[in-house]
Amino acid sequence: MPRLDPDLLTLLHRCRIEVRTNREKAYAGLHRSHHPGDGLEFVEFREYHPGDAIRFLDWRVLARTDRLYVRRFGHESAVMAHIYVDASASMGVALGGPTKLAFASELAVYLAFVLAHQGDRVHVSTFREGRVAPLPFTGGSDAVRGLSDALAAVVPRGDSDLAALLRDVELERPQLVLVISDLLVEADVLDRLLRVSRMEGVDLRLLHLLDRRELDFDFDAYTRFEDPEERSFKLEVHPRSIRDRYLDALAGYLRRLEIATSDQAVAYARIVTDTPMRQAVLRYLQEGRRGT
Amino acid sequence: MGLERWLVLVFLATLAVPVLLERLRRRRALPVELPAIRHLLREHAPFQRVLALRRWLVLVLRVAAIGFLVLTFARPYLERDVRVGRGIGPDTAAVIVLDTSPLARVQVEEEPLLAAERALAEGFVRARAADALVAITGLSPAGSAPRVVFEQDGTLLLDHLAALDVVGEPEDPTRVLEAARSSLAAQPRANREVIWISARRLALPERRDDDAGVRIVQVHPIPDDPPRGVMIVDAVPEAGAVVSRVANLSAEPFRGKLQVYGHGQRVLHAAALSLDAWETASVPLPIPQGETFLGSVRVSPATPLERYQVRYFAAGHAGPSTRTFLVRAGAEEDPRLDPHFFLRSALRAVGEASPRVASLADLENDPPRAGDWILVAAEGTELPALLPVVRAWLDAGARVGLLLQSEPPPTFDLAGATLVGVSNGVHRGFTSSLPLSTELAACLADVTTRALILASETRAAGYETLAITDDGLPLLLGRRSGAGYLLIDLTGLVPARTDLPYHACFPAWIEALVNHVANATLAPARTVFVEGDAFDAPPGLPASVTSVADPDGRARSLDAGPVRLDAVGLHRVRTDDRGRIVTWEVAVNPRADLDRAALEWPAEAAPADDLTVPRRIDLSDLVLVLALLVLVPEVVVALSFSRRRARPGPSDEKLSSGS
Repeated sequence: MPRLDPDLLTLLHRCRIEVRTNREKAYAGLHRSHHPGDGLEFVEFREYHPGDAIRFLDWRVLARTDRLYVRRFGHESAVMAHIYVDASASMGVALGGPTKLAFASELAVYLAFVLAHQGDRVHVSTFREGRVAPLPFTGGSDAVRGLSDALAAVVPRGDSDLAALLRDVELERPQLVLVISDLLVEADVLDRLLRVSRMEGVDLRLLHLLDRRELDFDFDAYTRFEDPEERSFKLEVHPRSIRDRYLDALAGYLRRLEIATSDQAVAYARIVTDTPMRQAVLRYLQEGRRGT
Repeated sequence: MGLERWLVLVFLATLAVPVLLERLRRRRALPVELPAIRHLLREHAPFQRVLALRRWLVLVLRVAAIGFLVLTFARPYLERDVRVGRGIGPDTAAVIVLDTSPLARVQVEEEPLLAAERALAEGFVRARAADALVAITGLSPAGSAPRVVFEQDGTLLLDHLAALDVVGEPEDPTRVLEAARSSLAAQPRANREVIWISARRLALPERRDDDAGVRIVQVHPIPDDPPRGVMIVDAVPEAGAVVSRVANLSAEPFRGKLQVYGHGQRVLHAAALSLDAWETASVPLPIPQGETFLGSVRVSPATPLERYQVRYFAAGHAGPSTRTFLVRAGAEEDPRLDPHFFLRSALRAVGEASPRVASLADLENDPPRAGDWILVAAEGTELPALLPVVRAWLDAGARVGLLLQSEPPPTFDLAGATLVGVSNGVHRGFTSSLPLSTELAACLADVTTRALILASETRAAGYETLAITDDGLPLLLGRRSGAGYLLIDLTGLVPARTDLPYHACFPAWIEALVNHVANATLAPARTVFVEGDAFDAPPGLPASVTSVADPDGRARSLDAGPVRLDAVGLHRVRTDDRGRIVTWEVAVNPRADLDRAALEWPAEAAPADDLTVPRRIDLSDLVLVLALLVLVPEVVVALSFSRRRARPGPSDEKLSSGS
């Protein structure tokens, strides 16, 4: 596992990942809503308007400025977030750059750090072959390093069976579900995953990892292509003869994925593994803020 | 189906090359784990099979293309039976007459017509009824009756057939057919027929009362694809003309030209040719007299020109000659002042005891012929009148030694040599490339002479320099000119120009010079050889002749005595002295059998008992086309493998979506 970027961690202190409610998801991207009310958590100052409760007047401000301001409070709720990292065999493929698993692990660590820092309860797990393996993470800076080491020790193998992940979500009902995967699953399985977003109080987000060479298919020599998860998927061919067909198939798959996530109001992000980690994390967080 | 060249099949081993290359390529395939490949394979489920199929298809096409190419060189052929007419039925007596005239030697589809006639006759024999009486004969020599022997035994009949060969001067075929008809009259069979197998139709006499019901059936030896149009049977050169006999082998009249070519592709003469259907005619075409050359006669227009529409011939001269002339333009009263005195003396010394001393006027009545050799000792002033005569002699094939005894006119041309008529001082000694004894060579080194200067271009005009002065000036030049040979001696041979005649080596020098002239001529050739003639090496070509190349390309040694020239065509005799090639033509006899004739009896239809003969169809071209047809899809499919478009992959600019 590469050393964590301290500058990035410093930057991430100021970042937040907001959890969307079902109602917000319906208008995602339009505005933000805090629903201030009678909670204990201070939200903001506002000028006093007739009718406001006197008990919320800020006397100190009145004494200093001679102006009437009221304090507003909201509900304080610790969000439970669950980050699932795909540890199937296809995540272990490296076509010149880092493996998708290495990239996913680093990304998961930074996202977990952000969530923990904003006070949410964070669980990080890997999933493959129908099992979910939780990793230790308590939220402190030492825990970040521990999580990083634990992810580095994961050996990719097997397929990306999502059944256990779905079971886990149904049991735990986390408010935020982050799935980092190359999404090489059957269409019906993916459909079941996307329906998680319909659960009350669950915000599902997909981080789709792709290798640069998967996108460009810039192979030249006579090659024997194999799918590490499905050994029956193999093709011995000159890459130039199938490039167009391959790119068409990949583009079709990505298009269907975008449509499906859009239909199910699932936040979907596609990240190529040759993207610098700082850029990938910050950009994802920025896009997430605009989207929520 | 068969193959003419089975050994070529050895190259079928090359079929393994594309297979091995394919195996090698697959072994060197780069393994890559690419999970996303499943998108392609899921969407196009049969894609793997299609690719595998395409790979196999390319491999099969490559192997097939190589196989077809190898097969093309193996010359495949197909034998099929061609219906030629009715066979010899039961209770029948038949005489099969093959046209064994020289026409049967004409090559059609790389085989003489006689072979096709034999194949057809064999078909008749094998398909005959068991009780049929059959005789096989060919055209008998002129003036003799054909030998007609009836047999029932097929083996004996085939033996008779194999014994038939071309007859040089055959009897008139109508007489042969009449004789066959007469012999049939005595046979105790209900049906009697004469089967005339020939490429030509004959005008047959009308039926007579004593025909005894004998029917004559004319059958073409190449029934499915006979020679069409006009066939040149032969082309025989005679004095001043080549006589071509042409036959129209179709039912359509022919209007065209007959052209004679000589000296390469030059048309010497063309004559209108008009032949009715099935008509034959003799056409004389003028050719230059006294020249030896290779020529051809061709039918025009004929597109494409078939092999049987071209005949080659060689015009030449008969027999070697030993006539020797010593020509003088004028006579001196005092024999001691006779400029030929020394020359005649020397000639007597070398064995030419009685060279005929003739004047130009004498030779107008009895001009030199091919093979004659002439020494002309001429004054320079006589050259202008002499040169045209010498030129004609050379064209006629004579060998001429021109001995210039005094200075010629300032400039003149002689057979390509431009001479500058001035002497250039006195030169001492000369050397020669003629075969000379050591003593003679030493003697010539002491000779003093005044040489003429030759223009520089002379040395590139085909002349061979045989002797030069020690200063490098040419003294003796020789070249072939026309059909003959010309030697120019610039030493003079007279005391006014050289002291050579006073040297003891003078007779020996004259002998060397005479031998060179006498042996330098073209080899004597006979104008026309009849097939089967024996060729004897002429005196002029003793041990120097090395081989005879027959028309079929086979070479035979000529040093074993007489050589029979059997095949029609050009026989080439190669000599190893100066590498000259002399060509003979073995032509068919001009007094052979073809006269003007018109068809009166059409060949009868065959009502029953179809008779077929095997015919060989060359499949090389077809197989070559197949190879090319196979190559086209191979190239297309192979190119589709390596096709690549510069197209970007899907965008990675997708970081979030959803509502």
